[in-house]
Amino acid sequence: MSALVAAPLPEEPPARDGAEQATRLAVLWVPDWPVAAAVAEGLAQAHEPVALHDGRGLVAVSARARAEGVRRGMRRRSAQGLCPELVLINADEGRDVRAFEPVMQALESVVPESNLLRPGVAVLPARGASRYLGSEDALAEALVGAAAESGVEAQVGIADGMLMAMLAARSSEQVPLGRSAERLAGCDVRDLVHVATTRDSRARMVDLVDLFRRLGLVTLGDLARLRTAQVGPRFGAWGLQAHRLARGLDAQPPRVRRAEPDVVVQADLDPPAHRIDAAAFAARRLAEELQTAMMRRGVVCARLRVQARTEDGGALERTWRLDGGALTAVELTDRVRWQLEGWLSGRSGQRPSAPVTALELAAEEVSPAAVASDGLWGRVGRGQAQAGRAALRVQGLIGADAVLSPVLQGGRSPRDRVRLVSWGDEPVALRDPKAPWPGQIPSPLPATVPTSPMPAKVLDDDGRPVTVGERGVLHGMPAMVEVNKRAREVTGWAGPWPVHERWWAGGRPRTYVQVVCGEAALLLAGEGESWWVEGMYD
Amino acid sequence: MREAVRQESARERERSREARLAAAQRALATAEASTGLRQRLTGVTTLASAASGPVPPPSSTVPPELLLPLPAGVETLLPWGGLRRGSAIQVSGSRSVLLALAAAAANAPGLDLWCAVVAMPDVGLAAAAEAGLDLNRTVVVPKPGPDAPAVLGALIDGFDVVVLGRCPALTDADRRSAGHRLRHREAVLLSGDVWPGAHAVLEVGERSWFGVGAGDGVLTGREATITGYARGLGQPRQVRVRMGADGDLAPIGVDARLSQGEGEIHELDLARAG
Repeated sequence: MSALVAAPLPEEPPARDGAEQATRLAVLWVPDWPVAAAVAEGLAQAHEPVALHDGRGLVAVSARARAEGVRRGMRRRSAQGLCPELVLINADEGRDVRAFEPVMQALESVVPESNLLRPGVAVLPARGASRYLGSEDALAEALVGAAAESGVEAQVGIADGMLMAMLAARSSEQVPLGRSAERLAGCDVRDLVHVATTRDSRARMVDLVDLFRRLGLVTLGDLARLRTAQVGPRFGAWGLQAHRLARGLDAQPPRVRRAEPDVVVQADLDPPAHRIDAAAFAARRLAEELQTAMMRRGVVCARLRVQARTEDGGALERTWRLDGGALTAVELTDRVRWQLEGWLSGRSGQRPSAPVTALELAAEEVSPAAVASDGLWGRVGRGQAQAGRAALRVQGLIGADAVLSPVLQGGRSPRDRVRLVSWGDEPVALRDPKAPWPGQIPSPLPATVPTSPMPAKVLDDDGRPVTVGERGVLHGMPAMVEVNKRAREVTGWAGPWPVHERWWAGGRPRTYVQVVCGEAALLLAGEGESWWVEGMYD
Repeated sequence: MREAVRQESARERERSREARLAAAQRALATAEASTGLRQRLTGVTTLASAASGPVPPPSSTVPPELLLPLPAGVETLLPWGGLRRGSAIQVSGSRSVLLALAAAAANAPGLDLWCAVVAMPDVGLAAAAEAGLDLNRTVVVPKPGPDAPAVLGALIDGFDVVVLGRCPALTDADRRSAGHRLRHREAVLLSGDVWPGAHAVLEVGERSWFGVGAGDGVLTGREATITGYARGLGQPRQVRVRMGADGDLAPIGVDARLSQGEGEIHELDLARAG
């Protein structure tokens, strides 16, 4: 689905004489925000050592756990080895956003235009607010105070340019005007990773930083000394962005005129949405629409504005800052859904007073995308787009678990060879279908596989039940099969094929037999005296 | 003079009444033939058509872009020589044939067609994949429940091939509106259950199985007779097919056992389905 893969190629900076001034920014940073969010939602106590993991490894660690030697990126088991009383919680980006919403609303009482970089990090323009409050110290104090009122301990840094402001927040300081570049020169290039907003861009930045270090560019000063003309051809759009950041500038060059109008999509909700799922459903569609509109125009955006209007005329609005890279429709949808959850869950003080009647998404600070990787009509065919929409609609009607997408996987019985996952989940086979699977039921496969085992009776010529003995041997020749109280004479049969699967996990041995009864043909499975229908051929 | 005019107009009325009657009878006959009601089919006529080589494809006035491919064996059973978009087809007696039809239609070359399988909780999807259905372009709704009419409508809107099983929640009115929607969205409905108002009915019967002995061998293949009843096809047509593992239905003409049933009256029971 990735529509646009790289950030726009920034234009050449206006002049080399230092005329370009970076924006003065204040960054509010909450250390270990995912942990704080989990504590805020009551999943852990503040005094316990806490770590969040996403299945691959730890993604966030509390200060108490860090003191015990637990670090980010560790495997779960080694973390538990270091700190046995560690509380492990599943990472959930939705929870992070939801819990951060009250903080954002508190910040807006100080600076009206605050942007979310990612949950736990807010970016605010500092110049106007510090002039209004008297000094930058006063602004920092006001911001920390506002965050503390919503129960969060935060640090504020003020500096020129995004990267320095971000690093300043980590050490809670204010870098004087125009001093960012020299302060940055001594920093490690690995600090560049802090400004990434999405998981994807973070991974790219990590790769890039790794490359810089292997080439001997250890500090940001080394990187900043390179000429732009040298960086562009060697490291591409991401490299140029890193170069600008290392020089203490904004990631995007300032634009004198607005090159592109904003892309706006909006939808009226009728009936108004009371619940999150109803609103999220509309949001998902809207996000896809926005993504398509941006793709068609070949642009990426630097900010995403989400706006909701309520029945009584109220409006909620939040702006997300993106790092210029393109957002896939899924990432876009997630952000909108998290935002709605934040509003509708009622945790924030500013709960919508009435049902949501309209949603609007706007892509702001639009700039041309450097690379549009989709075909002329998009990689997604008309069939897939329409089918996806219909499947979503049905999920909205009868629930997400009622619409499934099948995926072929390895297995011996016809039932085992297909896995069903909810539509929208990643269709991944659990077992490799290309492995040999000796003892697999041969094709043709039965077109009907009963959902629950259908008991059957198998009798021999004398009316005695046919049983499966040790080692899967049949005692008696099948002559009559009774299914659903209907007896049928056996005209031919094949087998027995004993299969003993997953014996290490308590799997029972079973024996398969194909039985033809005149017009019908059945696949039977037997164990001891009991038989059941595993498939019906037709 | 006036008398002559009156007689003339009376004769005219008589003629037009006869013409109307004849037209009505023709329409009734066509309707009965197409639904297969009270259709008496003799082995001789069907044998004659099947035995005299491949049946020429029925005259088709359907534009080719509205036709989806059919498995080779059943092309002659439908009046259009393909699967017409916007039509509803009932396939009774064999789910394998149903899946083979769905696979052939969804694999139309050059088109990105998606298939939905509805109200068939016990469908063997591995068999469907074996028949050629691309599961990456397939969505399964096993239990639509009481919302089935809305679910079916939404699926017809977005999917090109809809395979439907037994769905008691659908009323006749729902089926009619689904039929309108099918025509409008140019989708194809393949119903494994009775579908009143289907454009064509394929009845599968007289199966025989190969490869299975008495405790030896393995099921390798099967043969079945498919009878097609369709509007616009005067006589029902019959074909004997061999079903391979890969879902193709190869026509093999008529076997000897069938031709012995010469003159046998075959009364079709539409309710015998599923």
